[in-house]
Amino acid sequence: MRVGGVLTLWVAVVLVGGCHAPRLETPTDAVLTGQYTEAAAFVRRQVVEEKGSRRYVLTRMRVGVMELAAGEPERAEGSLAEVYDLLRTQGINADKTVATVVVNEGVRVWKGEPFEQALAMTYFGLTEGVLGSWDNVRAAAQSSLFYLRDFGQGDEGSGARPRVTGSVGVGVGAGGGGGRSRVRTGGVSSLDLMLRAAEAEERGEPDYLDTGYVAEASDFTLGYLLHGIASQQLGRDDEARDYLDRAVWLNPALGPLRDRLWDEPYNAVLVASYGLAPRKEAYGPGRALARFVPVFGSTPSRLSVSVDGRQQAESHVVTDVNRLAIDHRWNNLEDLRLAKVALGRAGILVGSVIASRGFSRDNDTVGLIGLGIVALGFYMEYQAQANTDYCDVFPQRFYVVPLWLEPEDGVASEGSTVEMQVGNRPGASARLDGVRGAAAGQPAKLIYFRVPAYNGNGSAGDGDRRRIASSLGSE
Amino acid sequence: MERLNGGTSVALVLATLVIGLGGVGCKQTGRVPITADTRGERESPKILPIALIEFSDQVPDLLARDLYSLPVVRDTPGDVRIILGDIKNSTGGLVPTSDFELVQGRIRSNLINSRVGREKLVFVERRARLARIADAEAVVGDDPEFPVTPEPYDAQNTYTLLLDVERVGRGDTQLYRMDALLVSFLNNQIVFSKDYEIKQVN
Amino acid sequence: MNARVISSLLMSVLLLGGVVGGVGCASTPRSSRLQVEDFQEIAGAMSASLSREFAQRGPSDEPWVVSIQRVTNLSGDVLTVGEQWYPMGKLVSSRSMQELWDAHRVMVVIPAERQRLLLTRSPGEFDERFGGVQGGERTRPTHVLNATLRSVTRGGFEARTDLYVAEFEMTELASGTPVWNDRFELKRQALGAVWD
Repeated sequence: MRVGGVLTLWVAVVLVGGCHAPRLETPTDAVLTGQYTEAAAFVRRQVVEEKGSRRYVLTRMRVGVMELAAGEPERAEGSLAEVYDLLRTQGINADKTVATVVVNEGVRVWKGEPFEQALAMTYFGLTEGVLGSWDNVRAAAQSSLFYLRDFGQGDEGSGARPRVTGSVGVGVGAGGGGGRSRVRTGGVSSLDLMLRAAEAEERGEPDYLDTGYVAEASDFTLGYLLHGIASQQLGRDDEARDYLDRAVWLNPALGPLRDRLWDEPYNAVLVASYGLAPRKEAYGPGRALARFVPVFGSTPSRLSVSVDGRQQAESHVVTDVNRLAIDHRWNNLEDLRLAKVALGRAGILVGSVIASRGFSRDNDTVGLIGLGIVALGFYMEYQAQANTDYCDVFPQRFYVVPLWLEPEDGVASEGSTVEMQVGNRPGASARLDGVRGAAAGQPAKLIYFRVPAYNGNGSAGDGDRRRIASSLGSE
Repeated sequence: MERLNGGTSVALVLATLVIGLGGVGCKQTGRVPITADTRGERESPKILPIALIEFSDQVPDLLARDLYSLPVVRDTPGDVRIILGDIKNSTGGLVPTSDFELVQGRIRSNLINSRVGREKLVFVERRARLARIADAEAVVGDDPEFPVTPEPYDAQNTYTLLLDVERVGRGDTQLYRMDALLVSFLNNQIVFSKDYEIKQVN
Repeated sequence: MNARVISSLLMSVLLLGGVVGGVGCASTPRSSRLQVEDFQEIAGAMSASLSREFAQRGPSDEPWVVSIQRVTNLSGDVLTVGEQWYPMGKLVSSRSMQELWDAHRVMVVIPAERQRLLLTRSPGEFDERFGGVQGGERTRPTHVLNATLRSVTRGGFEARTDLYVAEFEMTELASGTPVWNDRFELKRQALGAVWD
């Protein structure tokens, strides 16, 4: 990547800044200490009623996530059904990127980044699963496995029709495994993409951000795993095998979990989440671009689960939300489009390309001309700061564990006691009493539980708690 | 009448375009006939839904026609039992097997409601599935009188309906072949076969 | 009429066309999900079909005890539990239960799933002397009435089409054979960015 071009763009975005709506307040303490009913009530108070509001979907998504954590699946179903219906509505933001967002960013409807949309669909599926509907878990998981836009490392797709590669759900090929995770991390930077867009525009090609990608199958491991388990519960073994194999292909550490699902009896599936999703923040001196910054670190800590005092299972991290958040394929690049439009109107985009060429050839004159155009653009342009709304109550990670619990078959019993521990972190644990699995012959029960980061007796974690609260701006 | 000036003409053309395009745009979304060719279908390399519908309409017609001429069927007293069999999906993962379950379901439904279906064919559920339903429905206690599962089926007059799907793909061109097979449980003989090919260019 | 008037009229038509076109398109569902009217149409058509089946039965026929199950959703779209029950409920509730028994010897029972829920939520409500372990003994069904919704989805980033097939069936439990089968098919398409 040409250093001069990047520098010029960087200088450009410095001057493209502005104001934005105040951030929604996160119920950090309640979420981290497992007081989910309070957290649900807190986010419920922030619900926006106007359908045209940018935060209509966002505020309902937060409520659904917290209501499920609070053990209120019937209420969560109402919130998430509405979110799902809106996410399935196409073209809500058509033409608003150019015409409206720059003038008044508040009008564009927030649907979340693709990874937030996939998580919202997963939460809807989990809610339906807790209500006993495995077919809907399957459908929601399928909905979460949409194609992603991959801009790759080169610009081979520039100006061409987007291509579709791979497939979703099946056809993982023989010999999957090999011990290394196939999920990608990082990727192309925002500034790289901006410069490619500028160059394409200068060549008179169609918008790079709309055409320069290759459509690629999702690598949302949790979606494949839940689809596989749901298919298994519905007696669709071939389909289950395809999806479970795909999950293991993406993350070979899940191999033992897959084997357990096939080889050992279970009457409950525990889906556990932990931590807080990465925080979205504007960056660059102009705060024109947005990025996600981890709140909880991406540690490989496993979840240990004991039933009635006996360790029954251990789970690797199935999906790390931090990883999705920093991958450009899981982002809708709204901030880039916004910045690009603003820069383009001011002539800055073209100036950036001229400057990048000048600097790359050590031709100071050309570079200076480019910078001159950029500087002129500064005076012509208004401010367009990146929007930093995000679903702050999503967890940082998910675990999945099949369990055998005291069955719900009418026999008088206390049920099972389930204890969970994330890694060996003090306070990151929970205990559930009187939990029952499905009766003989019935589909397994789906249990969702959000493991608190501080369960009240872990004083060693108080420092971290303060740090996290501080990073979220709520302390 | 005066001649329309340039501005008026432009307005006329624009109005026509706007109204026309608006109409077209609106027609393209919402409920469409099941045989309609849509943009979403054209942009996908997956097999066209219309092919799935055509094939699942053709197979029952031909099977109904051929069934009485098959000696194994004609000479077998009583009903011919059919169990839906497996789907061999060799599309390299491009098309989900659930799409072909829809084909299987339509073939079965068409046959059940056909004349031959009413006179000679009996579609039966897999016994394992029936056992699950019966188990779920018999809520309280066990009743030895209650037929939890039907008697094992007689292989002499029981057949399975299989579906094989293959794909050959080169660049933007996809060739699909679907094949419906009726196979005897008694001797693995294929007693009926009907295939369907479609080539798509995206 | 001079050119200016014509021009103004046409401009008005242009604006009106834009507004109407815009409103028309905006009000058209931009989702390929099943819509409310689809549920109503499916339920209506299947109810009529089932009525024709029942009409063939008389008061002297062997009694049928029919248990209803919610729609099994094998489509790519989530249906809430309420949406899964709606068409099945309509199949039954649109007719007189007494007439169904008197004229056609058909009795409908609540599904086992619902009965289990009732018993779980009402422990100790029933005297065991009058029926089973925890309450009323289940009238064992001879038939189950169920439905399966499947879909075929096609599309890319800017368009999506879903072909839905809802298959309804009543199965005799003892033999595993269908005694009634019908289906409803529809296709929906939507244009616009699938996620944006």
